[in-house]
Amino acid sequence: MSSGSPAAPSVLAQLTLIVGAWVFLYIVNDWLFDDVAISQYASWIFLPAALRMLAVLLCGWVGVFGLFIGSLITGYYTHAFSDPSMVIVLAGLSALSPMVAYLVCARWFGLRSDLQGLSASQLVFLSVVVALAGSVFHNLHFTAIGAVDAFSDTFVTMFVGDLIGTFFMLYAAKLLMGFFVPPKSPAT
Amino acid sequence: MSEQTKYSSIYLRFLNLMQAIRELPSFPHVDPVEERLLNALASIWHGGGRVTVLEAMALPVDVSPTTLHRRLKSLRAKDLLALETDASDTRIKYVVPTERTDDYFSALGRCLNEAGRA
Repeated sequence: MSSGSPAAPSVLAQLTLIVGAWVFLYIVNDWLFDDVAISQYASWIFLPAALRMLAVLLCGWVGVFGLFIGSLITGYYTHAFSDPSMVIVLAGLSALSPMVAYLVCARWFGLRSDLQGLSASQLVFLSVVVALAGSVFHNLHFTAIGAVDAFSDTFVTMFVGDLIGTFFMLYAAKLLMGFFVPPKSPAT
Repeated sequence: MSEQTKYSSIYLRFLNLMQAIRELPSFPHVDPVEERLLNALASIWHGGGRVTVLEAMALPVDVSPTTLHRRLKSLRAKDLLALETDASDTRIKYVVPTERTDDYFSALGRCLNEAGRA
């Protein structure tokens, strides 16, 4: 390790962290908000949605791969191996949709790769686009294979659930930072 | 990209992301003069009184009427104040609280309660 630079996570550590966080949040979500799930695919609150955006923002394609592995594991948790192709497609959609949303927003905002200048409003906008991309891709697939009768059946629930989950996690992070990081002194 | 640059990049992204999360809107930022002005107005509103813009500019908060006028405008821009025209004389405008003003004082009240319990 080079001297002077902060200890950085290796690719394996990043993957482990993302996969672990995804599975943990999925299980916590299932435990806490089972009552607000309308199907095995859609819930009015979905906490892991926040991780989709954060993983892609922080780790790029490593984040996408971590989300794919995490989704495969939770796919096994919900579907077992009854339908492996469905599990793989859902994991792919779950992992790729935030990257698509990020690439669109990065181009739109002119975001730098190190995220310098990322504002709170851009983060909020990105959260909405990630939630939208995830729910659109998933529901297009569900409609195409006939898993739902109409596109809108689970679209609204997934979109709202992803948004609530993302903002819940973002504000939890903000609250935690308030405890651990001293506030900036006001400008004079 | 060298390993070190790649790792520094992740760390920088993390810092910039944390900064964006920290700036997420939660509680309206009010400067000390705005705070004193809001407090003076709140005590009048609480007593059931009404305050015109001219009266608000003369409130005893130790700043000039011009500064107070600017602060009335900035508080209005932050949706912490609204103006209401008098029913009988349209030249008279009252400074009235908004829903956000009520939220602001409720949040302060909760902070005070928590501080009292600590």
